[in-house]
Amino acid sequence: MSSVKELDEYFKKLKADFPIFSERPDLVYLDNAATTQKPSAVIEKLRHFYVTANANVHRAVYRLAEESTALYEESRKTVADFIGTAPEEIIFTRGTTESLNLLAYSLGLSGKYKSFIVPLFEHHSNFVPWQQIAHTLGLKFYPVKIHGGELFLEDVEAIVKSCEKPFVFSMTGLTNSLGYRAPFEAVAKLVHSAGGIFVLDAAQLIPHEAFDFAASDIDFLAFSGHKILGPTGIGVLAGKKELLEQIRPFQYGGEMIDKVGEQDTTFAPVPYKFEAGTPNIAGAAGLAEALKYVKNISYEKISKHIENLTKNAIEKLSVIPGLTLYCQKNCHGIISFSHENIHPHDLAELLSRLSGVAVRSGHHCSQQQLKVLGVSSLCRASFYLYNTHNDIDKLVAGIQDALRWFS
Amino acid sequence: MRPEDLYSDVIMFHYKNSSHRGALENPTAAQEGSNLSCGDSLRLYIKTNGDTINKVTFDGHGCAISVASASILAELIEGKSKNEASEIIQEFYKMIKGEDFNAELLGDAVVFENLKQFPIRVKCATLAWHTLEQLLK
Repeated sequence: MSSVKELDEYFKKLKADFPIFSERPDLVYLDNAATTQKPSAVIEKLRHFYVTANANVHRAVYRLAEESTALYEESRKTVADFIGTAPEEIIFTRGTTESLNLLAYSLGLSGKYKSFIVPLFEHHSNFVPWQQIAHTLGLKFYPVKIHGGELFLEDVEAIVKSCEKPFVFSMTGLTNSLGYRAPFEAVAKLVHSAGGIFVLDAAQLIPHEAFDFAASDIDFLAFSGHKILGPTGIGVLAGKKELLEQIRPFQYGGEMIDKVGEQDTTFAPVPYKFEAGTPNIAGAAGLAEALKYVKNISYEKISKHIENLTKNAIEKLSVIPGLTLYCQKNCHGIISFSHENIHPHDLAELLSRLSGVAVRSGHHCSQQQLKVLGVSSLCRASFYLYNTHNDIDKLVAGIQDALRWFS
Repeated sequence: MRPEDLYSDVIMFHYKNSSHRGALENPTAAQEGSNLSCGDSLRLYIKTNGDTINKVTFDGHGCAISVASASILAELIEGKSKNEASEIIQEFYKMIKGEDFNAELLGDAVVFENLKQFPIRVKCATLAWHTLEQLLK
């Protein structure tokens, strides 16, 4: 494994693959948990699709449509290979949010499940759909309490034992608010031993950690393309084929149909029954390209580099007087913080205006998590592969500059 | 866009030295306002005598922009009738939207005219004003 310096040099050079940093040389982009920047390869793939292969998929017999369909299905295969599923277990969606809404509706409408369970630290996209669809369909909804930002297995055990069954448990692999690497493998075991279905929101996990769906104890997995260098508007829901076959689609329309009768309709096989309407073909191709890019660099390098950046940032931020870090022991790539003399919005605004540093401020769409921490808003710096140790230094200097305004 | 266009001396003064901060004992009315997208919230208290708003205070938590805006609003509204207060609120909204407005009615609140350059912070600056509008309904 390379040294901290060697890895930093490697990723510093790689920054040249991301045109936004040439366009905006002063940008220090530390909002990667929200979305990542795009490498030239992904941008070029989108352009190439529209210039050379644009046609709708699965519907026509002419050559252009054949090529477009082939590209779309090749992209599905690339995604499947990347996370270790069969291609028919990959459903393309608009993103994690749509994947989880689709799943909550489809599992709910199947009539088989009596309860939905989610921890309180979830991003709203993995909290609100389960809560609302449970209420709409008359199912039980159980939030699992958290301790600071952590989940205790005894709380999970108690709920999965006592809840109304059959049940679905959905949780994140890495919280977007605090970068907490949740013990999802252990939770999945508990859920399965109690006869439940386990759903993993991997939106934050997949950009940082290699994942093998087939080898895992997970039934469904959701992630977004744009958080792993891909385009916005494309995401994935992966699911075990036998489960996908059992559940109903929740969006109806073109291409998801088998036979339409006057009173009833039968649906296409998986994954097509879940992909109503014209899909984001260019997005799928762009996502496949992004995953190839990540694979080519290797998770080993990316994870180590992010770990180095996180460690360095924690060390340098923890000595700033008045600054509180909301960082778990095992936080990955995300550091949330606040300062006693300045509101997170003001700090983020001044970081941007004075130093070109982009961090997020607010509740990070995790209101329940922040309520448990007893705060209404935090600043969050989140790292990805093109960040360097120089970016951390700029963040630290930027905070000190911003604090001078509020002294 | 320079940071001083947003964090002007007037705004920083009201943020750091607001004399209207704190709960009001025995208010005639109080209203909770929250900024859903960022988690900030404030509570506005008024004491009226007939149609006149004699005293306005606020508490809660928010950024410098939302706190300074609440402080300026409180200072401006005290001693005004409810109708005058409603008129002032509407002028403030016009200014924020970039429409023609009556600067004489807005006093120190004209410092928020610069918010045109910072559209994301409009919701911070208008929190107290929306809250007062609700309270006067």
